[in-house]
Order: sequence, then structure tokens, then C-alpha cells
Amino acid sequence: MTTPGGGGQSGRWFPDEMPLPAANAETAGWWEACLSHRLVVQRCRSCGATRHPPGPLCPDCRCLESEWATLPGTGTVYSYTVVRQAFLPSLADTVPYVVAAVEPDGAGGARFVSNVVECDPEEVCVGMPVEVVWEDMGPELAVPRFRPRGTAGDEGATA
Amino acid sequence: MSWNKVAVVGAGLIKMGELFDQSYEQMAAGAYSAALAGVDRGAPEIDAAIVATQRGSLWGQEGIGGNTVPSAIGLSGIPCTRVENACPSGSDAFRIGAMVVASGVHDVVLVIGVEKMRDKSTQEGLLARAAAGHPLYNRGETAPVLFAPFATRHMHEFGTTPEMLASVAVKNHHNGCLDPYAHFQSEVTIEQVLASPLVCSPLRLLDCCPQTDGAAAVILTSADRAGEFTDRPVYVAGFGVATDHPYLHEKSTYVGLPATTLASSRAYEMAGIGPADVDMAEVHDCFTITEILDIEDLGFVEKGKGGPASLEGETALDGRIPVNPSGGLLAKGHPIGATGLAQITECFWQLREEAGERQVAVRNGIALQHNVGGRGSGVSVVNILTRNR
Ligand SMILES: [Zn+2]
Repeated sequence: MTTPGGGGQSGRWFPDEMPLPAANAETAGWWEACLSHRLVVQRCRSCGATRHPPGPLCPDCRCLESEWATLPGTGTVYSYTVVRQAFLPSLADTVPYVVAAVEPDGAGGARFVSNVVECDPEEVCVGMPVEVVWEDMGPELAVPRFRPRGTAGDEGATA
Repeated sequence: MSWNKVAVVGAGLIKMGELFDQSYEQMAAGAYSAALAGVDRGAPEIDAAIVATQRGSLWGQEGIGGNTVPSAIGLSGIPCTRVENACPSGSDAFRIGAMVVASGVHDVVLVIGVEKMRDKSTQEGLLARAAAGHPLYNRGETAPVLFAPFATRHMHEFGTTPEMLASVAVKNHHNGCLDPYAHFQSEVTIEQVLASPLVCSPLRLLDCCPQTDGAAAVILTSADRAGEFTDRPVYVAGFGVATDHPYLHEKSTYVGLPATTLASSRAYEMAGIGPADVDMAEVHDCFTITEILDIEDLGFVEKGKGGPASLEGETALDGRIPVNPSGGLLAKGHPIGATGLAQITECFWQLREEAGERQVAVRNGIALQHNVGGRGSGVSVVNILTRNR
């Protein structure tokens, strides 16, 4: 079974020196959920449409009110690239790494751009089932990454 | 033709490259002189100017305003506005210049693009960009990371191959050999492209355009006054601009850039033509995959067929629809604010059949120029030119 919101699996895959994302008023709720290792998506309070990244207004009905819907933490790879060059010196020991657009289950087609970790980059493919894992970058920031579903003793679907 | 109120009467550019020995202002002066030299007769008195520079402060030129370029090129005092609209900055400056002339407010308008890309190292530029991303996720985003997932998805859905991507680089580098203004002037083979280092799979080094310094300029006037300066003006037949979401997360598709489809449909409608009427096109090939997306989104080939069309030579100089005869961004270079105006200059020369060894067959007298870019390729501009009054 997968824990709602992705549960507590965590690890470190990227260096501390990475340029870190920072919350603003619009994204604070999303990052707060991440800090408690809960994968969420913004949902319109009026029509229920989901959107990502978080934005001020529902593009479907123009409602300004929204809420954070908890996702199961599973999903599939929509597309990806394997980054082979260290664009920043701090990533020299991290390449090659995978940047992927993931379609989380239950997110209504919204996509999250993240990384697929804990696998050989060559094994990543379009349609690969994945699940969220958490990278605690510090006391105030946890970043969701994804790993192939079925690895590390997980009893979910196999890749 | 439904518009044709505005004419290009002069156009020119400087040799693209790593221009450490030229200042921003010298590059502007070089492009302005080249455009003036391209006017067949008379000396157009510039009433107003539009300047396109995209990077500006991020790349070390602090505070470029409307006055920087006029001051440098002897036009201080004229009305001048700087346009920054991502990779299509030059194309959009051209569109705005055309609207200024069409409005009747100014008669003779200089549209000039100048960009210094190399004064700061690639790494410094990336570090500057790394801090500028969306607060959610895009810190450290780079252009190849943005386009590579489109290539991956295009391959997945349509069977596009690395050889098909490479064929775009081979063609554009070949064309660049015939363009004295191109940054790179050497042939590459499919094998060489496929043996070049992977940057972000499936994109390799030779799938990527270089970082290039450059400047280009165009002189516009009303169609009624064009005869004062030339017997062979090129008219603005139509244009279109469209926007899309800025982030990879929210793209509706990874096998096309809908902003280009929208922008081109607006331009075609304004010009009263369709893609089959276009004789040649200068399009945004920042990566090989981008040209494949472009030729599909512009309607030159069916969606999904851009790869085979490129490999089979449909977009070559002697192909069904020659694309990027100048060498494109891949070989000529991509000095952002200047890119669109350098493309317009190529269209101007091609329609006047002055393009020398790289001249394409002009059947209908119609050329198309296109840029797409900005965060998530969220801005696209298409300009259509014609030699038919
Ligand atoms: Zn709504």
C-alpha cells in the first residue's frame, strides 16, 4: 500500500549547494505540505479543477478560492531527459541525473517537473510508473522526487 | 494580399560571432550602417526607432533604455523604445515597428536588435539565471533541459530518431557555409552530430545553437513612400503573436508549441495566405528538435512528420519548403534581440533574390519569419513578408 501523500520514504540525492527553490505567497501552501512529506495539488474550490504550478485564479472558472488536495504519491513519467553536463559546478558529482515531467495519479492531468532517482538513468522511459520520495534539503525545505515504483522493498506496482 | 501598408526598404546585419572586440554600441552602429547600405537610393531620415535587446542587465549591460542605441548611432533625440519579449524580442520589435508605421504616427522607423551574449561566461550567465526562476521549481533551469523532454516525447509518439534530429543540424550548418554572416561556417555530418557529447538526452552538443554576439537592423516605411528608397521593396503581409504557459508543468502538449500554431494562424489570416504559399522560412532552431516542432506547428508538414521531412531534404535549399537558408540559429547564431531581425534580413534578401549561393527558388514571392521562446517557449511571433504589392 502507498501512504497517502507519499509517506515518509526519504533520502538525499542532490547537493546542498543546489540553487534552492523558495516559497512565495502563492506556493507557500504547497511547500508546507511538502515539509510534512505530503504531495498535494492545488484544486479550485468552486469547480474542482486542478492546476500546477499553483496560481492565483482558476483558469477554468476564474474562482480565486482554492484548496490543497492530497495525492496518493504515485504517478507516471510523461517525458524526461538525462542531464549529462554539470551546468553548475555543484552538480559535478551528481550528473547524470534525470529531469522528468511526472503525471501524479489523482492530479487531474497536472504535471510536476521533478527528478527520477534511485535508478539507472538509462532505465527511465516514457510511461514508467513512479512514486514520490522526499529529499529534506534542510529544516525548512523538503523537495519531492520520484523513483520507479516497485523498488526498495515497496509492494506497489512493478515498473 | 490584405495588408501590405508597410515596406522594408533596407536591412542588414554584422558578422555574427564572439565579438569580444566590439562594444554593444559598436555592434549597433555596424548593424545600422549595414541597413542604410542596403537602401537602394536616398538616405532615409529615421523618425523613430525600436530597439530589441533581451538580456540587458542580466548579462552585464546595465540599464539599456530607449536612449542607449540612438545615442550611439547619431540619432539622439528621436523617439525610441526598447522591446524585451524573450527570444522573439527582435521579431516583436519588427511587428511593433510595422504597426507604428501603419498607424501613420511615424513614417520611417528603424528596428534594430543588438545582443551581447558572450561578455559573461556561460557559467556566470547560468548562475544568474539559476536565481531567477519560478519560486516553485525552476531554479537552475536551462534551455536544453526545457527542450529535451519535447524531443523525448516526439520520439515516443512519432518515432522521430536521433538521425532525423541530426539532419536538421547538417542542413543548417551546410547553409551557414554559404552565409558570410554566419557564426559557424563548416559542414557537419550526421555521424559527427551523433558522436558529439550528450548534453541532455537526446540532445547532443551539435543539436544545440551556440551563444553568439550579433546585431541586425531593418528600415521600415509606408508602402506609399517606399518608392523614394527602392524599386524593390518587400512588404509586411501579416504578423501574429501568441502566448502560452511559461512552465513545463502546465504545457498542454510536449510534441508542439501551441503558441506557434496560434501566432502563425493569425499571421496567415492577416496575409490571406496559407503555409503552402510560403517560398521559404527562417524559423527558430535553438535546438534541432525545435525546427522539427516549428515546421509542423507552422503547417509546412503534418504533425509528427517533421523528422522524416527533415531527413528527406524537404527543408533543404532546393527542397519543397527551404527552411533556414541563412544557417539558422544553429549555424548563424542566436544573439537573442538581433535574431529575429537577422532572419527578417535573410527573408528580405531571399525575396529580392540577392542571397547568392544560398538563394532559394521564389515562386509566390512570400517568406515567413518565426521565433519562439521565453520561459517554457511561452511567446511566439510570426511575420510574413511579400514582394507583391
Ligand atoms: Zn474553477
